[in-house]
Amino acid sequence: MLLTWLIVLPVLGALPMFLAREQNARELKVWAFVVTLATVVASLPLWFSFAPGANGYAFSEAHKWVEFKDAAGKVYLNIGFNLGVDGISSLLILLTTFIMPIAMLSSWNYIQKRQKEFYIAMLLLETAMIGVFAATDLFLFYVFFEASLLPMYIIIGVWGGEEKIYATTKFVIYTAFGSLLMFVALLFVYFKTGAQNFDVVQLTAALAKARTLPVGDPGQLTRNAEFWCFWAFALAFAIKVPLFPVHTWLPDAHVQSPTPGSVVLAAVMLKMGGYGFLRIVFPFFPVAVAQYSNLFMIICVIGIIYGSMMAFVQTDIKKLVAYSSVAHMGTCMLGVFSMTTTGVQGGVYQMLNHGISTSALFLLIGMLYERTHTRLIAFYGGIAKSVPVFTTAFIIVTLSSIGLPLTNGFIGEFTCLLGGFLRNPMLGLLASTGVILGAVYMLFAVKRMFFGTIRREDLKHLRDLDGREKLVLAPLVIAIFAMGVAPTAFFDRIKPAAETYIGYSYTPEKEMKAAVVEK
Amino acid sequence: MMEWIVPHIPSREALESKMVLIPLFPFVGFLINGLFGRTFSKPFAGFVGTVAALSSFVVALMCVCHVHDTELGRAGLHVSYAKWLVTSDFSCSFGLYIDKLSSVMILVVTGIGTLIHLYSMGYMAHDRSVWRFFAYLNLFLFMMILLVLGDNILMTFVGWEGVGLCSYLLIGFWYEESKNAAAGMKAFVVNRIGDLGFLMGIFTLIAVFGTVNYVTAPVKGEGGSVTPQTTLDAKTKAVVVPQNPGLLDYTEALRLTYIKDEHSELPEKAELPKFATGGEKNTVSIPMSIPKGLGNSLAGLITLTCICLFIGATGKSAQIPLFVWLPDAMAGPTPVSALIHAATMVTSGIYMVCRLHSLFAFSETALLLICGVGAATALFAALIGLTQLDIKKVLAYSTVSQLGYMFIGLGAGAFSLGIFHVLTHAFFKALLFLGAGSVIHAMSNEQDMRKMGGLKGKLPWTFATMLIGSLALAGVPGTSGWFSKDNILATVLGRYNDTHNNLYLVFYIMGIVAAFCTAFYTFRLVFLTFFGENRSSEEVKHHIHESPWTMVLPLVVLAFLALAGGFLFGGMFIEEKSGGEAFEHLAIRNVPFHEEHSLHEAHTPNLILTGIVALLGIGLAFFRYGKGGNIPDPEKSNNLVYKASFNKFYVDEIYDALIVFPFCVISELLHWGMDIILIDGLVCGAAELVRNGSSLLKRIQTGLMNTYAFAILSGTVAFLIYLLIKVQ
Repeated sequence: MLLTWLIVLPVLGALPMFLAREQNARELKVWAFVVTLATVVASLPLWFSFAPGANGYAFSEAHKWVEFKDAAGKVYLNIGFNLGVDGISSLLILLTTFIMPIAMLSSWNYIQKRQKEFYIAMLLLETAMIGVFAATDLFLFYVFFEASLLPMYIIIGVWGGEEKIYATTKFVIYTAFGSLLMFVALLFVYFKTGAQNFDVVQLTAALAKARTLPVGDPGQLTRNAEFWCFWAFALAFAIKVPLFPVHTWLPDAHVQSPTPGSVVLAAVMLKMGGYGFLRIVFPFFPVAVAQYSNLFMIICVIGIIYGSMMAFVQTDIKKLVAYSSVAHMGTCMLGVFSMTTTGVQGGVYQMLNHGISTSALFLLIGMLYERTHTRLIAFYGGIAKSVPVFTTAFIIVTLSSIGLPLTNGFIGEFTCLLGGFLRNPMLGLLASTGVILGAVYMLFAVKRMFFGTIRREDLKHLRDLDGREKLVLAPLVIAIFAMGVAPTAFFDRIKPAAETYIGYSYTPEKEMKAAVVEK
Repeated sequence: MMEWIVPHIPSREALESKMVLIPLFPFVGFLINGLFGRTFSKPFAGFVGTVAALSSFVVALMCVCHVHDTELGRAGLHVSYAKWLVTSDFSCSFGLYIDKLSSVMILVVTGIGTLIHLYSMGYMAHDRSVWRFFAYLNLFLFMMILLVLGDNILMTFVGWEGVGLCSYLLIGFWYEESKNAAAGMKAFVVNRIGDLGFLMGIFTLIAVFGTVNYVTAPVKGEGGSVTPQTTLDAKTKAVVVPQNPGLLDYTEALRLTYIKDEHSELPEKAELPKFATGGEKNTVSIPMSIPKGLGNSLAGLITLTCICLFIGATGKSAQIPLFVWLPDAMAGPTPVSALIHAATMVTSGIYMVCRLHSLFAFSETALLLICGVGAATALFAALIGLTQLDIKKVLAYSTVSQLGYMFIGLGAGAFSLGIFHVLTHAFFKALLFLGAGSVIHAMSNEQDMRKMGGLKGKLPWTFATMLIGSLALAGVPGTSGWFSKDNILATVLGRYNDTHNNLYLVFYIMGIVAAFCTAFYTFRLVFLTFFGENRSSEEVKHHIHESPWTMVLPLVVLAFLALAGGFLFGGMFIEEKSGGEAFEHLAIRNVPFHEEHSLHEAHTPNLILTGIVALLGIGLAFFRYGKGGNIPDPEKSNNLVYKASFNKFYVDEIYDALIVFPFCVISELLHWGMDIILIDGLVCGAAELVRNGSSLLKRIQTGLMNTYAFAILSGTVAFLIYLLIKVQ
């Protein structure tokens, strides 16, 4: 029941808030923060007592949820409230619960209007996000996947910047477009294979069986059908990651979103895309994956180089970081699509890293914005002198972002690129140019913002970080170094799951063997 | 010379437990100064940093004495701590490994590091944030120690990037000037370009050998642990490899299997053999999984790996085409230039090649490339050095040029001489930089040599020590610089005698011309700075003073080493007969000569030639500048070559035009053309289409009865016509 509790806890925490009054903003903030902290505590067993069963899932639970029967009493739609986590999803849930209190604390002064509604939206968002990673029933997964859009839509749309409506509409339509296609494909797969329910393992098995049925059999999954379904799922997840060229919603959403929204968006919501590829696309459509994984690796490489070039020319620091996300997620997905154990391990690790370092960057930018109300790089210059602690923090996070050894970024980047290189050396080489480009755009921004002489009088008296802000950043900075020095525990955790997902990968010999067994 | 220390050093076991202190001292120093330095007084911050460096040096010295105590036949000290990164393709730990090769480097790093910390206490005494300076400096030592002592190439890479970071921070130490911050950034980015090569090299090593460790893990034994070595079983003639072999085990096994005669290159058909391990005699299958697209010849792959790694070295060690960052790096405080950009960090490329020299030795192509790049850099940088006016810029280009000599040595297969030049260069170049710092200090931060002159009386210690350094740099026979440079050039000439490959002759001539230039620009510096009339303003003249003892003491120590270093240490590096002595002293096996006498025949003509060019260069400098001559303004000069040399042959401008500018333009174009117009145009266009389409459709619903009636009628008629056509 642990996972159910984890999902329900934030909603339960949000319920009394509906009754509270806006005037009690301070109490509301504290309450919301306490709820997220309680969720952190509740999620700790995911790390400490993680013991996967035979099917690779730990903390599995299954509840009947929705059952439709036709006139004859035959069940034709069976949706279960089935939960369970493997090495990958448990880490992503931990990332979610770890980031949420930080995001809450960062909203302290940033959110000034409609505070009650804001914290309710954040808590609902947390429920949806945990649900996405905990669901093993794909219908349930889809429900949470969509449910997470709504609070984010509101968070950007209500508490966002000047062009919030444009940004949030773009964000929702982009993502909803992809996920609707996915929904159609999901129903197609369900009814075509005549599966008993939406359980991911059972659906995978049903699909594998449907693939081997003889031509002409009504239940047969033709290559054509597989490719269409693959693209429907892949597009949905590619938009979420986001991969080039469906990334253009991200910079707008990030720039317009309030800091806590950006943090959650970058840290957790982007990960749903990569997670979906691993969790659903790899097992479901191995033939299509085998055919297109090279294409996707090329897309990732383009994303890395293109994202870096875009980041380089930005004048808004937040937009720069948003584009750097495109590049980083490109690296991450390169590892995943390399279909090597090291690459997938690195890809998942890079998801966590990106969650930590990009969140930290967004937090820092938010803190600066609170002081000066601008994010234009050209506005700043030389502020290292007036805000030394802030500068130190920013540089540490920058180093993590550009993958300096002994920070988490290095481990993720190195293993992703190694995976890519072992699969295809040329693509590995091209992707590794991101190592140079990352340093170019980040250090260029650092130079323009922090070094040189202070030209503006008001910047000379900029306030340095206060206690709360240090508290917000400290866990992230600690995580940056801890994960850079001791990645082994994470890699061990990820390994079995990674091997499972790669194990689905298609080879002609494997299919022949399966066909023989079937006969 | 270390005999008297030996009885006092702790046992092997005790040393193994103390080894961690070598990196730990500077790291703790960094933490103390970094976290609390703000509250310290200036001298105390310097004291903390210097003591940390000194303590590290003392521990390192004890370990080195132990490693070099050959009477007991002791192998390297090797300690492996926690696992760091374990994947299915490779795994590595945090481990420290002091063998004979790394012991030379560790002494240079901590020893000269300590001297420069001491010097900095004087030099930086008036700076606003001394604590920050010493924190960075200690962090640098820590990273450099990881680079040198890491027991796997990934640890080396950690140090490699780490020193790059410290270099970035220290070049931009006075960040309030935008120029300094820009120089720091340039250094980091250019180094990253090289690091890309290094990364590819590591990837191919993992792909081919499935390991990043240099040697196998240590095995606990009586009185301390031992690292098992790869050997040839005398009886069965079988190659005996330890469990979980490291990179050096593989190369040694390949050498024992394939390199029978004098040839050093791996045959085209070589494969990784299945090795019989010691004791149990079970075979180990080698995880060799050469990925598609890399070819399948082991020899070819090794060449590829070596070239990738060498690209990494060209970045950190400032070789063509990536040398452009080093002259700009002079924006940092002068002690930084001495420690990082002359004595230690920039030589890590040479160290890395030597660390894997047994791999490089297999590839003649890679070695030839290294030799060529080294020779070209040595000459090119020396030519630029001829006309520079900034005292630190002269020394910077001289450093680039001298690093070129080191690579010439490596490329000629004389790995031990490359390391020897690292050592002597560390002495005399650190000395020269510190001397220049002392001059700059005295001249109220003036760096333009046109405004100096006549300082020999006012700065006697600085003058005397810098003169010694200059003699060594110019390669005057008997000085330490002469020992190493002369032997490197002799090896190149020997290589030519041996192989009759004309390229070696070309490289040799380039080296000789560069040596002439070196002698000239070095003494141009000496004459302009210390002789003739003082050309500074009255105000500056008034303040000229000799530096405090903290600055003079390091100068004296380094001057002694620069003068006598060749006699003291030469025996460790210079081989009378190839393949013997260097291995005993350094665990380095130089590439052997086909004919032993090739090298011997090269010595005498080379000795005469290098002696002549050194004296000629000094003579010419005396003739031109000896009486404190005036320098024409290079910008106004009509001599195009002179002007080009002063402007560094416009390399920066060319890079800007060919790489930086197009990158900016393409990025900007893509941003507008691709992201905003094309992709967002399509996305928003689709949205517009839906909206406009629906507003069009909206108009159909007019609510007028006659319109609807007309529509129904037309529909019916059209349907009837369709039916009629279909029936026919």
